[in-house]
Amino acid sequence: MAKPFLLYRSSAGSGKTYTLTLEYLKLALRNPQSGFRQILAVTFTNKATQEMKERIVEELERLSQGVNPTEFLDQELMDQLGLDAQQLMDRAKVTLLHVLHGYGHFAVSTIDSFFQKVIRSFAREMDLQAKFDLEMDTDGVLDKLVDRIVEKVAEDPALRNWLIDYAEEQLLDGKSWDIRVGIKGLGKEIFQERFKAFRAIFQESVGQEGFLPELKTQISRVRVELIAEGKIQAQKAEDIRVQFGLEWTDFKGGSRSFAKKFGSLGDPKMPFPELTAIMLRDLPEVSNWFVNKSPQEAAICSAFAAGLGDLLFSWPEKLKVWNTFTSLQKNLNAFGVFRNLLLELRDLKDEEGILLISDVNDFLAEITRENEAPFLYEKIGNQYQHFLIDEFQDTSEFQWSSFKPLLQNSLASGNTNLLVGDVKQSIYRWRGGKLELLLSEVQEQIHPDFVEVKNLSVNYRSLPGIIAFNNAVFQQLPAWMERGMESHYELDPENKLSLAFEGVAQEVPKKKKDAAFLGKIHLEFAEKSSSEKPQEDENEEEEGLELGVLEKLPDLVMQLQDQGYALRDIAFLVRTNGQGAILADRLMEVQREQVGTDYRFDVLSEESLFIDKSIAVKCVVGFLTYLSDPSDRVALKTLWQYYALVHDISLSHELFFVRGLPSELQEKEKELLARQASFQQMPLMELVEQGLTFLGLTQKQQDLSYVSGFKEAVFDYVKKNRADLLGFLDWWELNKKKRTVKIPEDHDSMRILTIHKSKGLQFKVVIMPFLDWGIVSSGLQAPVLWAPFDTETGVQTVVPLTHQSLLKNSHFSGAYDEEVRLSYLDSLNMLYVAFTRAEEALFGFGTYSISKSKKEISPTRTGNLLYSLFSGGFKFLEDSSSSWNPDTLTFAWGDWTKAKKPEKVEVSAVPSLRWDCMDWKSKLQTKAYPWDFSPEGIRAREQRDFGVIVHAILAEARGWEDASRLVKEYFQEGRLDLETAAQVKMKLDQVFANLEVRKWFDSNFSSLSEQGILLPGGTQKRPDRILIGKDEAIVIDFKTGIKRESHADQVYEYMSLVKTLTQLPVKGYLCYLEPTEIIAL
Amino acid sequence: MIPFLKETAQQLLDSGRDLKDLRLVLPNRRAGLFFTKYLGELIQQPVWMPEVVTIEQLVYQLAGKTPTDDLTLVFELYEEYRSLQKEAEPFDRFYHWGELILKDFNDLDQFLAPVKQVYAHLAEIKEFESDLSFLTEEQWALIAQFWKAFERQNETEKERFLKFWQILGSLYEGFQERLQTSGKAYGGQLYRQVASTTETIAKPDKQLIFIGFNAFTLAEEKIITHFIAAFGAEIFWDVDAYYLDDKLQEAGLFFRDYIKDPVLGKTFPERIPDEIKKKGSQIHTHSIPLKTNQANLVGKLLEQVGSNEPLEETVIILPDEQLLFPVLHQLPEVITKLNVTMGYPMRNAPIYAFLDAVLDLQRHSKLKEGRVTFYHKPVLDLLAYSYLQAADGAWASEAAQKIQTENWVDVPEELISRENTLFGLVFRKVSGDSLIEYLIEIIEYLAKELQEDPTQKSYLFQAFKQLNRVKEIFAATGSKGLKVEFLLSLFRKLFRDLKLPFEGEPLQGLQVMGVLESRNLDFRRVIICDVNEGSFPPGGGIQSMIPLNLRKAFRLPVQEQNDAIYAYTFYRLLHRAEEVHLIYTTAGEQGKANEMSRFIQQMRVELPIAKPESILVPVDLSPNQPITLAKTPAMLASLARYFKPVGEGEAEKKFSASALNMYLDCRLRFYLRYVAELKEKEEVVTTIDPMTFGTLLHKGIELLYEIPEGEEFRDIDGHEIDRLLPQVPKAVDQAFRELYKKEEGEELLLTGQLQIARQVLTKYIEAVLAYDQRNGDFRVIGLEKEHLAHLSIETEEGSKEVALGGVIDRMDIRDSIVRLLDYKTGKDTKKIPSIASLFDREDKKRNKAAMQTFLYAFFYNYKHPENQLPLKPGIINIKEIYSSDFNPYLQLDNSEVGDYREFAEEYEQGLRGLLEEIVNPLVPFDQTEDKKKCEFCAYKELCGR
Ligand code: SF4
Repeated sequence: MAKPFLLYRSSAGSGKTYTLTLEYLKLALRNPQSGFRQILAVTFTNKATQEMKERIVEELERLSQGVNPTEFLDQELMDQLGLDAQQLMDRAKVTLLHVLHGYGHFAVSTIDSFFQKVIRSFAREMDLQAKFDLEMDTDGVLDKLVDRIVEKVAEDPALRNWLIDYAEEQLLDGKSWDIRVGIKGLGKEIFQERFKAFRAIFQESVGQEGFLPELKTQISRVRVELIAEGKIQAQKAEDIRVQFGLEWTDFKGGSRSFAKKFGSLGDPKMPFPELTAIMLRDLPEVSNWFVNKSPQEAAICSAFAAGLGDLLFSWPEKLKVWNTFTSLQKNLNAFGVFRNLLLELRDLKDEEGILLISDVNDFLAEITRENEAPFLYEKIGNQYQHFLIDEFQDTSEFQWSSFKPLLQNSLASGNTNLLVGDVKQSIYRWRGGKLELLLSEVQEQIHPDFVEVKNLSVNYRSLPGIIAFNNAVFQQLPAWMERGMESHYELDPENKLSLAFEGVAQEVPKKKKDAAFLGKIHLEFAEKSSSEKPQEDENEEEEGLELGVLEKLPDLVMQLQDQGYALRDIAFLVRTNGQGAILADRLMEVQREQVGTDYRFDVLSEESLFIDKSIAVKCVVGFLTYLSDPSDRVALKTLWQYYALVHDISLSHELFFVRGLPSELQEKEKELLARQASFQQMPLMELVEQGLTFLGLTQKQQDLSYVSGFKEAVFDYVKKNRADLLGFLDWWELNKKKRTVKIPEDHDSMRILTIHKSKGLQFKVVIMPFLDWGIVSSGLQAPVLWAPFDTETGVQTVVPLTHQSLLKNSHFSGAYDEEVRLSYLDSLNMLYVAFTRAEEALFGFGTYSISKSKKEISPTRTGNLLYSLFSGGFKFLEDSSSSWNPDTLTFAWGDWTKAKKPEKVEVSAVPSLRWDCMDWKSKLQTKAYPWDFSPEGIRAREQRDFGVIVHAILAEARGWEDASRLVKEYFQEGRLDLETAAQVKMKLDQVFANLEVRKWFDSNFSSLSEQGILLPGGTQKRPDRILIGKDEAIVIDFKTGIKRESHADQVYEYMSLVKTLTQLPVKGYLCYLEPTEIIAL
Repeated sequence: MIPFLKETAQQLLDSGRDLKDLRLVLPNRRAGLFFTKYLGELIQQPVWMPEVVTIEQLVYQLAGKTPTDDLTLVFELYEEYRSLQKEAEPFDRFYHWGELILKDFNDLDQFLAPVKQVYAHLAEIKEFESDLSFLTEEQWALIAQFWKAFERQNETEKERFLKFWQILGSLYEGFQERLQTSGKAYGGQLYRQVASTTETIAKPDKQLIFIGFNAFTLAEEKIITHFIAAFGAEIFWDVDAYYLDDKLQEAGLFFRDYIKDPVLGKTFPERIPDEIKKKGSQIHTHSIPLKTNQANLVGKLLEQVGSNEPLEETVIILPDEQLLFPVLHQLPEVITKLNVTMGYPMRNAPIYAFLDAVLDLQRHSKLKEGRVTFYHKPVLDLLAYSYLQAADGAWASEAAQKIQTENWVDVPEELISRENTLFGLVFRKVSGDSLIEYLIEIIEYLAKELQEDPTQKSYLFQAFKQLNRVKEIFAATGSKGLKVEFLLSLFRKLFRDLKLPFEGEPLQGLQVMGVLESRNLDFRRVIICDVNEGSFPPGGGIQSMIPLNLRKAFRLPVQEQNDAIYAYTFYRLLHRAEEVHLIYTTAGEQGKANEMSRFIQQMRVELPIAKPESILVPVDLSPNQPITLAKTPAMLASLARYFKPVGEGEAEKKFSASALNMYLDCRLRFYLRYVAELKEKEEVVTTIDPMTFGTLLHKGIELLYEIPEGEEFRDIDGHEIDRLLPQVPKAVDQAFRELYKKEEGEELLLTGQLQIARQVLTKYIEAVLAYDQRNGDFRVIGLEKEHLAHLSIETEEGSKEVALGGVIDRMDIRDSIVRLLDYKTGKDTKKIPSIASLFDREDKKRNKAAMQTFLYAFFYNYKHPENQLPLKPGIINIKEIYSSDFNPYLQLDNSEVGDYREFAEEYEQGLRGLLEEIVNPLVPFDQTEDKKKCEFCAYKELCGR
């Protein structure tokens, strides 16, 4: 029997979506009407969800129109379900219709949206608020938190002292004393699973009175003691040295002798010197303390015996303690406010009624842990029997623990479930993705009887050459990296990379085997002068130093165009958005320089083309900034500068000079000043529209996508926030680097993507211009590790450590090593993802460096590793010789076949949209009510003119009781306050006190007042009351205000109408309300 | 096109009945208005209008009661809840739960569910078995399944669930009674009451005609069926064969049931229209990137409206109210009149933002010793609002200015309030009890002020009504002495969900409406936006306290029914339309992918309709241009102000060290600051920027080392410093006072940030003093002293004397050395590779601080040519001052600069070169290449860096 739990290992390009679709259909078609309702397919992103849904519907559509037995999918379905073509077709049709009409049950969704559904149905039990907004912007929340905490300093002396200490320490480190930055840096952790996993023990310990100060004291005490001890040792060593008449240079090594380390004992930065592995190996043997035949041999031996040896060998342990406490100290200050952050966060969530997106996983894990699956399904009203989970390598621990009970429940009933993923493409560890789950843990947790592992090993994406090349690279690279790790970090790589990349080799589909063009590969390296302190300038280096490649790219792009590639076939993969921006800038520059040739360099990147790049957008933002504070001259000039750019007005001194303005702009500024007040009063969205018109941007229709994107940002902002200008500008400042223009899929331009974003995509040509990066992040990029720690008083707690080499030799070395291993795996995965995006051609540019001191290529950077690999005789096809050219430092393989003509890109005519903005207010009529805020309404209200209200009520009422009801209704709506309502009621009573009036509301007559008279064409005549008796009819109209001739005329008209309709004699009355006066007509 | 309502009107006219004897029941008022309008178009003679009521009106008339408003009901519910639940949460937290419970109660009644049994526990439910005989087996199975699943829960979880669940049953009972005694009611209750006593309904005096219904609640169904069976009422259905024939089509979920009903079934027309199937070719779908882009498309589509075409035949349906204003803005000129019928979220209205800010103000107000103060942040926020700006902009700016420069953390009332103005109205402290009154007064005031803006007024009026309501409810329930925080949180909750009904004159102009408002109406041209999953139909599911399977078991509506209603609303719009545009977006919120609506997918398979036309917005970009300004005569004239005039007189301007450094960093920045004279914007109060920090530092030390009036110098020794050390905190406070213009004795209130800053400054100054003490006696000869110097340069117009000037932080003499010291709070170092490097803009690590201290030495030397002592420039920087081997002196190529005079010539030469370049007409002002320099530049936005 087939095992119910399928684990698909899907390498790049192996048709994962296809497989998922097939598996989905297998399950869904078993029961064509309701089968799909019992499947939950979980994808990683919204986009993937949508694609998956589309794909399933498409296949169903196709199948329901005709089954093609030569299609693998069709055949497989027929086999599995035991159907013939016709039957499959019918079933597909039924399923299609059921899916489309039961779409709410078509459960393909992201993890988050499924989880949210569950959480909402358990909100009460989880003590959440009945209504909460899901907050995605955790950075924004953190900003608020930190500000709130700093403001609390005034009330909380303990907090104040803590923060002041912190501020000072920052200053001593030469950092800004503004501690908010530092708190935010570590504060981000409160949203991370790696912290949350320890939250209970954190709260337990840190919640204890005096815990933090004690910890702090302990840390500083231990360090002070160690320094003191170092100093004592230094003295001892010095004494011994003098005692035996030695100089440190007398020892082996001379002026570079290890013995000089005795001199640095007690250094407050590092009181105990570090011993290298070689020293540790050799020095226990005293003969290694002096050179052969040294005249000082005896003295040295005696000194050794007198205690130098003991001193020296006490260092490693001491240093370890020192490193441990020093690393503890680093984050201690920010850590000290962690609890405040958590408490403040709780308040903030409560006040604003929000649920953080980052909390979703915790809540869910708790819900599924505490509740049995069947009850959970009862609550959400949906019973899932099959789970299909995609991109499993990016699933987090919490997410998995939420799913596990559900999966187990399903497996226990013998249902099929499916996980798909590829450990090699796990690049979301920083977001909580835990590839170990897929690698091994799931199989350990689910009974092996259930699990069947399948490999999808055919690569349908790339040409055979590319496949073979990648096979070879990724069979060899893991070992290279592991060796590098071993040698450089002195740790056991635990085969982590090899295991993850086991079976990496992919097969070429039969159809493609004999293709004429097998693909093209070109990797080029350049030596980079190694900087002295690579650690410090990491960032600069990441983005800036490899710019040499930028000069090569234009040629390459032209060459590709000569080969017939369309621009949209080409993708540049970068690692950071910053690199993307540099690249985009450069290519746009080339584009400008190249006018006149046929070559194009259009380039787009979702990440790198921010909305605020457009001068039109900058112009509006300047406009808004200026309006938010008209005394801001810089904003005003900013506005004019971009206005000038948009409208081709040349920049000049007059434009920038604070008291000047070019003549072309003088009218405009006058207008601005004249309209300033009215602009300032507009609602935000309106202001933006008006601004666009005022600035002539609407007419210019420039940068339409960008301007639209900006408007969309305003739209989104207004939807979620209090819509004020200042607030928006602050928000924009924070968000402008997050919003990008949306690019249509088939837009013919080259793409720049980060490797992260490129996951799941493929391109004919992939260019990786910056293949060199540091593997283990350091400096500001260094990750935070949480490690358990027991204080001297025996309290168990957990501490945040910044990953740095200090940890290597500390009590936290386990955590350090693991982070190194995972960092290597991250980089390897990243390379894998990048290299496997290519269908036909792969270009890469990397740098490498040879360290000055050691004359070696350090395995700490990808560039170095790749260079070593390729320059070291790399081969990937049996028959091919190494294609390494040591002169050009290039690895090249494959030849272009004859150039194809580029496919004509269909430029779909853009249907024009309307961009002009109209003043709609004059065209809108709002409805009037008595005592509303129209000028008449306000007048009536101020003069306490009850007549209008009384009139309105009389006109509507059926009788006295009904009138009372209406007063109540007005009151309930809030139009009248209690007092006014009472007065209106009194007025009405007065009117009804009149006998005549009372008669009009008598039941002796049938009343037709609500109905009125309809004239041909639709005009309506509504006398306030029409009474129809047996032999007479009466028409009454109530009036407020002064008498007018026309009033009577109106009643006469009514009377004649009523007469024709009833054929009865008609009486008419005019009834003035203030004072009550009845005029018979 | 003949609209359904018109067709119905025609049928009624044709039937020859006297219209005045009819009572027409329609789903909503708007339908009634349209109906009458059509009727008018059809008649030849004046007629009595038939009576038109909504179904609610009908039921409430039968019940003889109208429901109380929701807010009161939730209040009542809460009171009842409190009596049942010990330790009930406060009302503001309960509020949304209350709404939810109320909705459940409404459903239970509307669907005539046995409440006791619904809220019963499994054990109890068995007892009711006989009462529940009406339940089908299937329904029983659902109930059993639920409780079976429940049984498997662990005890704590069971309890968690039951804790609330069990209260609900009693809550329902108690609530009914409570309402009974106070004469209040909620809608569902009245429906149930009427539905369960149909036999008592008297024969109506008019014939009832039901028009255009789709989904009845069970109560409605019962009542209507009764009217038909007992009194011969009629129904006109707006139905299409598409719904009835296709068993899957959710839009027909209800019809397919009704047509099988023995009573209702007979009311369906003989011939069911089959229109939708023919509409395929008239339906256009458009996909477009962004939500707001839809407005651009709508505008474009409307441009095609003929000028003599009746506007009211076109409708724009907006499932997302938020899109209203974007659409309105993009309407073309042909639209001369328009009518908007939809709810607009209050939280988007500017008045909401303002009131919210006002509430914030109250929340952070204090009353101490009879003095009212407000926290500065909300005050500043408010002052920026257009309402206060419009009331008196000058006063608002002045007040804001004052608060900032004087750093008022808690702003006293007198400083901002002004009687008889909006300022007086807003800036006063109110107690919880009068908070509503306070808001109402503000609104009334604004209503008067904003005479000419009808939309704003419409908002105000709605807000006003709502507040009045709340006020009365508080008054009626006797809630006194409520805490301000509680009220604020309640207001926010109430206001946040409040929709302002936009009500226009419905019969004229282009129609813009929400989805539900379109019921029963037909239009020739239909444009629907947001035809995306989640918008139309809306997602989100049913919110209920009753678990979904129990809802199903007791036949309460679930998502299925919701979907069916929306599906009908959607498809119905197609019945008679001749031109339909469905617009969906490909990007949703926060750039997420957005999915087209299932309706489009259904039609694609079933009608079919053409492929969506995807509309792209061009992605071209006009990038920023570099700024390079060649020097013009005007600019040169401006620079000439730095030249000492020939003969008498002083130069108008002088170059400071920071100006020179700025020029070296970026020529354009220098230009903007000194030539274009664009001042950087003033900073705000709560944070403290490095500049202010520096100012405070200088001031603090100056106060301590001050040279007594009339003296030339002051000698300071170790003892003196001992005496000074305890005074440091006072000096720092004094520095703060001077900066923020606070009198001696006046309380110095500092925000959290500033409190930290104060401590840090104190420690820093103490460290400076300690350093001075360690290093022996010295004589202060000048603190913060202004200097002026000249340097002659060669220009095209011959040689000129350029004026240079600046303030030297500290000059003293120690060990017969004149020291020129500068205090620094940044990362400055003391290392300089060479003098020339100070002027080398290519040098990324150019030492600006050294360039500045050298300039001081130059000043001193210029002023005291007679001086014989060595001049030693130095930097006292915060980063290093704490270390015991601190050394303030500059290190030139690793050896200490002992005497400026040794380098004077070289330095002056560099300086001269720099100045000559600045005034050189051939060197333009351009942007720096090093973008790092831009990071903290005030002109970043202007430059686009
Ligand atoms: S933003 Fe950069 S380029 Fe522009 S003025 Fe400032 S420093 Fe110069």
